[in-house]
Amino acid sequence: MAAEATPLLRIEDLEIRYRGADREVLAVNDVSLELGAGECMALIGESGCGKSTVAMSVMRYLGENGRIAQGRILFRGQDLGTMTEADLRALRRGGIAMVYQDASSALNPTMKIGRQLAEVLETHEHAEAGSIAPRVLEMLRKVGIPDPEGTMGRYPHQLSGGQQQRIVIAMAFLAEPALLILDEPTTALDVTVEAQIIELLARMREEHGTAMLFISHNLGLVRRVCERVSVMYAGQIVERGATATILGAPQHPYTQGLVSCIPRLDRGRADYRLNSIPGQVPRLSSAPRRCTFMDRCHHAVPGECDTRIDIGPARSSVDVRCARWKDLGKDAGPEAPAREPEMPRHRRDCVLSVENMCKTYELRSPFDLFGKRSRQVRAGESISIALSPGETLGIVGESGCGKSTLARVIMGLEAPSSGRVVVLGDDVTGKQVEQRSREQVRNVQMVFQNPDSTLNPLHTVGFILDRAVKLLGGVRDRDGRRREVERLLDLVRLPAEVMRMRAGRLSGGQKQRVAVARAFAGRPALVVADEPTSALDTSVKTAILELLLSVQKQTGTALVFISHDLAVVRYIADRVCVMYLGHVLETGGVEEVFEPPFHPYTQALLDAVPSVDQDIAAPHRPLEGEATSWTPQSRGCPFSARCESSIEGLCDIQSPPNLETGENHLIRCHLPVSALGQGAFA
Amino acid sequence: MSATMDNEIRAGSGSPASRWGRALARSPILCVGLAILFFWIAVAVLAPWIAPYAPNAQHMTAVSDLGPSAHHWFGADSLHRDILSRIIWGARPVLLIAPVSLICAYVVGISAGLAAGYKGGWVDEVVSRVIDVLLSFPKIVLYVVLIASLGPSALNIVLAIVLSSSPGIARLVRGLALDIKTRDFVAAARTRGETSLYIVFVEILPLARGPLIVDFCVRMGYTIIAIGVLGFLGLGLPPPDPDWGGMVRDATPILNVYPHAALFPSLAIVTLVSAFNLIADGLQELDHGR
Repeated sequence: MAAEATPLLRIEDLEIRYRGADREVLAVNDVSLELGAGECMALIGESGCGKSTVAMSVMRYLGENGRIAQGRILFRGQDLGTMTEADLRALRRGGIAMVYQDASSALNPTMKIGRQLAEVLETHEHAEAGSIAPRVLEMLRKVGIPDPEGTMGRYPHQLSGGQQQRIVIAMAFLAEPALLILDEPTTALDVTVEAQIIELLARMREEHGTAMLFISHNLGLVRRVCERVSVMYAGQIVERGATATILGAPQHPYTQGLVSCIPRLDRGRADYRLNSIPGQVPRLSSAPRRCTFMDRCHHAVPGECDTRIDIGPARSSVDVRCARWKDLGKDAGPEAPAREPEMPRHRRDCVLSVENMCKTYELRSPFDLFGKRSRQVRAGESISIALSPGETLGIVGESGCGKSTLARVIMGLEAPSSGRVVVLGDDVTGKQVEQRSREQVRNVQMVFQNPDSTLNPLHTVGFILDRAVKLLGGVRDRDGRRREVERLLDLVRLPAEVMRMRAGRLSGGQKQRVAVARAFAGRPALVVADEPTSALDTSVKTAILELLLSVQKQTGTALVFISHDLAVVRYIADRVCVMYLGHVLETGGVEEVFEPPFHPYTQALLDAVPSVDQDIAAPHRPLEGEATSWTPQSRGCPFSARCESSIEGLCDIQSPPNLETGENHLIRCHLPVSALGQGAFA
Repeated sequence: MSATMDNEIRAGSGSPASRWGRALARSPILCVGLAILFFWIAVAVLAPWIAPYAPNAQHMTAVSDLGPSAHHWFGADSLHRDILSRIIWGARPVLLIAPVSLICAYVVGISAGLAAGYKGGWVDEVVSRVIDVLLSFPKIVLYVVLIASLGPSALNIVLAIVLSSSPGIARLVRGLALDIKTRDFVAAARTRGETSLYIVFVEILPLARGPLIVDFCVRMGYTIIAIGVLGFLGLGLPPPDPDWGGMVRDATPILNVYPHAALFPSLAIVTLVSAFNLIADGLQELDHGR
């Protein structure tokens, strides 16, 4: 057999079924793809489209209730489906390895890092004891672990999320795989760390010549990493081809939908409008005899789309599964609902004012019974913000910068250590939510991050909203409450039937809609949204963003929007606050913050975000290191340890001054304004 | 969207009876456990009609030989009373005292556990230390001291079981509450101005029901054993009313000659305890299967 002619991985007409509680679910059907040695292909699509199932089937990890109903998976020409356990084990050495989304659960918490890595070599190569340690050390160095010798003796929980993912990658490469499957490897990480991991993967791939199957919903990342992309929808590949072509000029309406719902970093809200794809991914139980996307597609034409549609060549090197791809250009685009005109704001009133807020956490060691010599960790150091009615303040920063603490302090879920929090003229500093007056409680509401924990899964939507209407809206009589609940559901564009459904049965997007309805039930003056979209699919995310914007327009509520996604913040916010380790480093109007001059940290964040329009070869220097905790003893600029332009003897000793670069635009930095924003981003 | 929504609504609304039917079909262990339990419940309820003799009646037909015979299928005890009838009547106090005492223990344990878990701080300190103290006593010692000082009676058995079971329940509930209270819907309830009582009983407790139901079944088994042990030690129901543990105790002096007198009441205890353990296993299995 000629080695050149056989692709590394070949999937033929794959069909995978899962046995559900009452019926079989068709997770993947009619999927064929080929991956040559050293190639990198992306699988993209919403969750529930079968991306991970395809990856798992290549690893033969389908679980007890999953089976390959049809088709073959060939690795170097060998059928994986007919292999014995022993063959499979041999294959994992030098064959296929996988990197999962959640590094902390991929590592054994009871084993030291060095031991876990050595185990890979022992089982795969039966290597001699003496030769193992040096190779493990070398691999740790390669994946950029700062202190390899020390790290060998640590346990996984002593490392940060980014470092854990590096260890998992090191583990995968120790087995010298020809094919590496990556299932959303950076989704749980901060943008700057994500950029580091992506750069690491690109380097490792170059050095080892590894082929990669890259599963992601981040199209910017896919653009940066992969040459080819396959778009999956409802278990089928609906479009495949070169990444630049597909993301630049998508042919299939679904791909078009995916691309048009990505918020842009380089343009403001006034310049474009996000689209979302209505509806949900269908769950199939038998092979579809019509276009699976038909129900959500505004190009669908009965008669043309309801026959069996095969994937076929459209343009040069692009295959598409659509009956009408030739005619799509002639159709009018989706009719975007008119956006409510922006209301003029009264700058005088102040809904929220936070002055010099500081929150320290005491870390008590278990051996320190009396807690006197506790170590302190600061989450918010002298934060001052103010907000007017109807205004949206975006707060961005990496995890651990104190964003969520700030939200919890405003809500009264935690008490600040010092400083003042004033809501609508009432000083609520140190008042836990239980001690606030009914009016104060009603006026400040919150939308939480995790859709799966924001609603009690056992309660019905009707009960949840009814409770909010009763307590916050102050509506006493039954009929009035029911009308109010219906009004709220209408406000968040959910049908009235969901009232009878238990919250646990809703999709993530629906749960978040209910959460928005609950927050707005009492017509609050201020809503704090703590990463309300970060756990959602891109298409759902844009729908929630638009919803928040439109509800806010109708109610004139002020919004604090916390996010680590800069593009989202650029889209939704009027003013932006960039936080790092509890300090506000830059604050100003959204246009001012996203245009030069930048604080060096803002610039690093912006640089780290991969763009859908950017080519793979675009120059890129990720910010090094990770945010560490800030101790009260530290002086100087909190960012000085990671800052490229840090001036020794100044930045690490002296607190930076406020540079006023425009009306309400503040940058806290020692560098002169002229030196800020000379970087690559423009 | 509305099509999928309709499906969801339909899937969620299956009548409770049909959902139970499906659950039973998926777990044979649960079926066996429930079958044994229902058998004993039926025996207890129908005791006056199915018991061949009155439980305390002495029979001269069983004077010469206490062993099983056509008149006395399970034989007779040293006082010439019919063992089958005593086992049938003895199912009543067990199936009454065990659930009643355990429900009381749950009321105490859940209240203490929720208060400790949700409130934290000094409430947690106090409750946790009390739990530690109570759990540090061997249960048997707790029973003996309590009942020996208060005297044997149904009420005192309930008291002893509440005192010995509720600390464990409280600890379990505290752990569950500590976990559940970190979820966002609890914070949402607080920012809505709900009272602590509402949060604890409407938001937190219902979510803990899965592990609690399984724990309840396991504890039913233990409680039945405990009641048997009390009977065996002579601290159970006062004679002459039938009590399975007491029957085993009465049989010990004649064990060499007539083992049946201890065997049959022991079997009764074993089957009832196994029934609850099987139910617990079955429920756990269903929970994991989901």
